[in-house]
Amino acid sequence: MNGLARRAFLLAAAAAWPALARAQTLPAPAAPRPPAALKLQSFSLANGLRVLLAPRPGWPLVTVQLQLGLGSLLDPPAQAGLTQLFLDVLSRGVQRGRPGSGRVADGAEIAFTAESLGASLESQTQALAGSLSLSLAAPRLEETLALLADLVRRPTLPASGLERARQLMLENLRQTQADPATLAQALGRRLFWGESAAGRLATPASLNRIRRDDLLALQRSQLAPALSSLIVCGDFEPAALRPALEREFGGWRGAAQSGRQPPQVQPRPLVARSVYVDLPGAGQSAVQILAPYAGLAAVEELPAGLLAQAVLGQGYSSRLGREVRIKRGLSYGASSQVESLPGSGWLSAYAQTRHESAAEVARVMALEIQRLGEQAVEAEELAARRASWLGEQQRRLESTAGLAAALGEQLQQGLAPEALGRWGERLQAVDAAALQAFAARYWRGEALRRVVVGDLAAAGPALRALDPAAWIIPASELDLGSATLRRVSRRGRGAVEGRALPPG
Amino acid sequence: MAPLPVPALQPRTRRLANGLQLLSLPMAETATVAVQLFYRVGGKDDPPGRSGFAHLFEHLMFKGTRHMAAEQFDRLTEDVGGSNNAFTAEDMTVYHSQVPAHHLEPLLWAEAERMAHLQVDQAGLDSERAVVKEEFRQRVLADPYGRLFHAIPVYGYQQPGYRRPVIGNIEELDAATLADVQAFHADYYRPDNALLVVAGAFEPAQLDAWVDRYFGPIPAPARPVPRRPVQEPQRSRDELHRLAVPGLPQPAVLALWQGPRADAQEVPALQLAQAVLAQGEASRLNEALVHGPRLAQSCGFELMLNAEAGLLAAHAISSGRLRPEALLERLSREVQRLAEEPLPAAQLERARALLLTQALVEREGPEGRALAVGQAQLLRGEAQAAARDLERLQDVSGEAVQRALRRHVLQGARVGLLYLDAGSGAR
Repeated sequence: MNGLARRAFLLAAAAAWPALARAQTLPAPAAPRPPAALKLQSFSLANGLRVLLAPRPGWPLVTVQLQLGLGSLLDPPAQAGLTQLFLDVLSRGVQRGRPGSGRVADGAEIAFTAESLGASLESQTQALAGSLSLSLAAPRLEETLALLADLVRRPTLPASGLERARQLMLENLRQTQADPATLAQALGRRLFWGESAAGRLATPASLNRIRRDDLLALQRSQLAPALSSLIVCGDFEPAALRPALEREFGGWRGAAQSGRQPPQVQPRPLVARSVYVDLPGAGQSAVQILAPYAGLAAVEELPAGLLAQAVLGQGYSSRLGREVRIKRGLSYGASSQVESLPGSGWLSAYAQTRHESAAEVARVMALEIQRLGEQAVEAEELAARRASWLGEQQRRLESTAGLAAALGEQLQQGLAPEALGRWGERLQAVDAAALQAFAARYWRGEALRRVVVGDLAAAGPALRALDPAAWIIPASELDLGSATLRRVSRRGRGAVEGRALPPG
Repeated sequence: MAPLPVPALQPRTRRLANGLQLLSLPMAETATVAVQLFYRVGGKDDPPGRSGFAHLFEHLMFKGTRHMAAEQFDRLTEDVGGSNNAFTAEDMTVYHSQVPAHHLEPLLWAEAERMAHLQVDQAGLDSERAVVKEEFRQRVLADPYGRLFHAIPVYGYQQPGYRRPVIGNIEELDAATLADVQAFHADYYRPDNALLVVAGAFEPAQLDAWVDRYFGPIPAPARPVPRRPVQEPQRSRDELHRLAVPGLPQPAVLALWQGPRADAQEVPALQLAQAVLAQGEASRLNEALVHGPRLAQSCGFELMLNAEAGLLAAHAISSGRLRPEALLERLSREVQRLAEEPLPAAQLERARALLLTQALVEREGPEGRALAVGQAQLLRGEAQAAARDLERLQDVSGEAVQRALRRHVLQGARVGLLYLDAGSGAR
């Protein structure tokens, strides 16, 4: 065996000898290939339902997404969580079979039916939309459309389903409170947006206020074809699909005119600049820095904003990844994300670290956010982060689920679906000066806010030194619905500083 | 209903003179190419006293080489519109990247560079060790149920090979030295211990030429790759353990049985059992524990099948309505019931459809397709098993599903774990 291995090695080395010299330096890339054009068909049924078809023959997979005229921004102030609850209850009771046959499928049967088609029904609540989506093998597309149509056309919204869905959300909230990661993310939203519609979080109190009549009212006002869009991506023949679309969705009627549009939102932050929540015994500290970002109306600014976000916190090589993880070894990963809403938007930078490093991570992340407004990004870094953003977008559009989600986001934001293919040009137009101007406008030091959830005793005094006026709240006393974030009003910093705002 | 399609996956196969195996799958419908290096080394090969080392080493592979600066891998992937990552499992360490097709050649060069000429210094080891310790804290300590899943191999296996969790522990991560790093690279990171998989947009003849050019010159050492065979003895007695952790919202339970190797004939039958029990909202465990009497908030049943031994692992997170001891029995009972009572055809068909659709989703793009054939090659011994197992799945009968479960669950010993809150007085 030894002889054979040695001989094989010698042969390989001899054959490769001229190549060995060449192989020592990095070869250059070839010429880029133009990305495949996006093939889209867009039309509306007579009842106003918008249909987007993106056929991509070859791999026998289809993703269907039905976007509804919902969204958590529409939740009434005292009933945060209504949209999420509604979407959950929607798949817990539906009339199936011939109209008038009276046969009702319950949640278990609906799930079993979808899963027998190979598809899992996913419902998602976002600020500007509520959606139902499924990915399935191509031969099951027509049956899946029939199921989806029944869900929105003939839901029974049963009271038992409401109770079940409510219990589930309450259990999830309890889990959230024990995990520094999920708790910090909820707190970040609450702190930054405060009393605006975007800052309302579902709480036990808000969920317990929701009655079945509230679901029925939401159904009457928002569940209408003219407020909805159906997106189908993948392996199907558009012409052959049209009759099924007409058959399943053509008869859908709804009170289209009464639909409400999401409100414009502006941050109405809580009084504190920093909130530190003590979770004794937690395994790590979760650190989040919040900052303003462009809203949807700022169309001209958004390319610069997206690129600034990519430089800051997308990928290992972003500023946050380099400074927090690679250089300092402080975290498994540091990243940021942005969301644009009607009226305004926000940036959230996030990392988990050992408690002793929480203050250091908070300090480094805040500095990196501000530095983008103070110093121009080098051309090489800008080109790299631009390529990175565009490449990720390209790969996302290559999957049926990614394409359906991206098309859905375009529609939610009121943008043309075809514009998805134009991000390359838009980002090419952003230079370092435009990026810096964007960051200088939005990411000034005084605009940043800070959340840390962890074992504060282990974190030590450095955290308090970052902001001596920080609210310090034991997790056991936390109430996300309150403007003071405290369950019981008691003497202390939180209660005193929070008194200016009405209770949530 | 019409039968569901099972797409073929027919990779081209090659082996270089130095032992490197190549699998390649050209795809017309993408502008991306995925490049994956599978090394036959994983957590089970951690040196004694160095639990977590194979995974720590995986992180170090992103440091420099003879001709690459530290993190230059990110320059050749992320910075040109691609991505990179890696994972370490019990039996393998996999480096997986995707790039726009025209960046394939530099990526192949870089993979060959780090196979042959990795260079790690003390500062690089120290900073990456700190990152891995944070990864341990994030995965295991910060998530209230992190220690539950961390406990599965510890309680499920009896021999060190698979018993030590891949992520390791803080003390043994701290013990790792630069000498360990060099020895590990020399032992395992060599062409005859590696599988290169390329899927997506590339021209086959051009790929072959590049692979010859960049990987061909890397010598395979004459000495054999060190192997630590795992021989898990048959467990003969049930066991019950308790694990108390701080800050737990609700208790949880774990039921473990010994399972077969990943290449066993009965794997498709067990995959169907897994899907019947635990995939989807309408799964049997959900119906029995979560939706109906609300005994659990969530539950699951996983096949954790490694190259040389496997586990079947059921878990439930309590809703607080039942004592943990009783929840463990209800969970176990539901698994046993599938082995004992007739399996309705509709439940079997639901499971089949879910598994097939899941494979279609996972294998849609170059990365997932490459992973499927690479893992089949390493764990099943042949890349063709990736598609063939899916075909076999279409023909497995309910009786075969029950036979497989009878053998492993009814006739096997069970290890139970009660996962409790340290603050509530339970021990």
